[in-house]
Amino acid sequence: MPLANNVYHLYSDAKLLSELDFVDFHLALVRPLGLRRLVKPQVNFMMDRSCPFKPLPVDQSCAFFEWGFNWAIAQHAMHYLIIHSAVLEKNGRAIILPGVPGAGKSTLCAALAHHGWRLLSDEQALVSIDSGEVTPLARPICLKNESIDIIKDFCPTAQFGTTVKGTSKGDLSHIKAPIDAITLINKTAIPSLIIFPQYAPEVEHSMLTSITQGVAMVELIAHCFNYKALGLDGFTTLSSLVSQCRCFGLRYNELTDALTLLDQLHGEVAQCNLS
Amino acid sequence: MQSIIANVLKTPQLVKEMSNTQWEMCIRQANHCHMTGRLHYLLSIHQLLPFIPPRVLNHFNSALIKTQCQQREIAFEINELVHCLNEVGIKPIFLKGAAYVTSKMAHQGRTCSDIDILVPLNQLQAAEQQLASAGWVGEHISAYDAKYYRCWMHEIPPMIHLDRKTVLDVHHHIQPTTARNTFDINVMLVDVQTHQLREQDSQVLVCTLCIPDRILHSVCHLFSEGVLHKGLRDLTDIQLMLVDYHQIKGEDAAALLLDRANELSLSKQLYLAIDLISDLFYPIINLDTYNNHRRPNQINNTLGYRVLHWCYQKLLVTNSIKRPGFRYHCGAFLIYVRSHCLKMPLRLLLPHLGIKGWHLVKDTFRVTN
Repeated sequence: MPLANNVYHLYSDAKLLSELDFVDFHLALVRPLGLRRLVKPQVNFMMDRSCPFKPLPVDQSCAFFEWGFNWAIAQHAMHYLIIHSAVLEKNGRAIILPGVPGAGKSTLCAALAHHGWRLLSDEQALVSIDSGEVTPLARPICLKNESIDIIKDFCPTAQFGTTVKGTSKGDLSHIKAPIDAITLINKTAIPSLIIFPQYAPEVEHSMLTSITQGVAMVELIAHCFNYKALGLDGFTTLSSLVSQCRCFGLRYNELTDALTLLDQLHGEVAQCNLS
Repeated sequence: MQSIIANVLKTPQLVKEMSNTQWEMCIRQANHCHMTGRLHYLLSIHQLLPFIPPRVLNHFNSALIKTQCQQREIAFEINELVHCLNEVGIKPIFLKGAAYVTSKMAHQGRTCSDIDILVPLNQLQAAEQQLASAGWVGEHISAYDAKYYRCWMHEIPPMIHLDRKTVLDVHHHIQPTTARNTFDINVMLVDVQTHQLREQDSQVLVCTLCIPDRILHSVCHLFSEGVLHKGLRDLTDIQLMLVDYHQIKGEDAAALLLDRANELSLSKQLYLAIDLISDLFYPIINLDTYNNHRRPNQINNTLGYRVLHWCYQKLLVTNSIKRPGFRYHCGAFLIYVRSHCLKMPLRLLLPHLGIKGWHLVKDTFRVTN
């Protein structure tokens, strides 16, 4: 069972719940009955008895599980403002990296998570409506296409799961969340930086461009899963998040460069807040 | 096996002692039958919210946010539809979820995904044209299905808004044209109730059926559905409306409602709903008045009534998450077949099933070729 092996490999550091604990979701990947089992077998993602997606080829199960898991969180954690972004933390201050697919968000996230930053989430920032703090998920990071080899070189300690070829998003592979992310899973973090990353092979050096809070707010709305559903709470949570953060665009073509810039910026923000 | 949610609806105090595992199953069942928001409301009226563990409360809060969002969107669409149809002199009557949101009755914690309106048959064509000009278009369905709707159903094929993707069902009756024992819809149309949708918007008047008719429509809908996916929620809708109606009308409520049900030939269905509510739910109000001398004896003594009662009870209380047993399937099959027979006499139903079957075979071959 490649799926079970993959899940075990990627989540082996996570704490197992006891029989007596409350479990949020019951997810399953189930092969439908019928003749298709013999030619081009497929697999369904199921949460209890509902089946929210069309089936996928069975060899994409490892990716399907993670996507379905993301979906389950987005559907049932509406009491957070959920932003489609990576979140990492250092010295108690979190950085939020929203990004459209292909912007290089996960690549940057994987690099940061293996160079001194604590991973909270690669896909979803769960922002508390009451406190504005981000709750960690500490789940695997999803890398696509060229990023897989880039991170294999850049982070030799990263532990990769199965590579799934030919999905709708290309080839992809997940890397295990680092151990510190998992041990500190109950420790929330206060965001102080919002960075919109964009991989840009044409630039010579990575560069940061300051963005006004208004522009950042409008950009972020487009990255939220449930901004509309939260109504006024969505607006107040997002506007107070933006007003407590400094916001930048980051164009980068090289990870070392980008990481240095982000570390410097993080240091400056910490200095400012101290003085 | 009886579901935990059914036990909690009957004895809400149980939540004081529920283990994590029991809560987990309760939430799974509630999510599955669209009851999470409603269950939260029912626990709140019994002051039981403090007994919900924090991790479970997250699921309730998440569900409440979803229902509140849906209700805001429904209110927006109601406003749009009233303005749109008033322009051509039509006053749409909102049904089911939209009516509950409008009347602020049985809306608590309720999911509502689409909108149902009722217009008199002679205004149907004008309504359809006006809606089309406002961006509502027919959903793509086969020519046969379209004809089926037009000839036999009490509604036209579902419409969908081009930009907002809201689904709208336009009815001209609350029972299919072909149903047995149907009644004159004008009886309901002359008694409609008007509401203000929002306080700041006093000139927008929104119509719904009057309370007894809303209750009877809900009853009629529950017992004509072939699949009881949202049956438990619909039954709690009826219970909540009964509670409010009894508060408004006091001791007369039962007699008034029974008279109306009699007038519309829906008393058997109403008695069945009352029986199920008394059997399955904690008594928020006393429903014994419905069983006093007025109740005709023959109603609950017939074999048909007993079988029906057994089927609904079985279907509503079974744990839908676990694989259900043989008896559940029997009940589900009977209710499914019955719903089809109610909608159409056999001389129409059999050709219909034949044609549907033939289309299914044809489509399968088209795919494989």
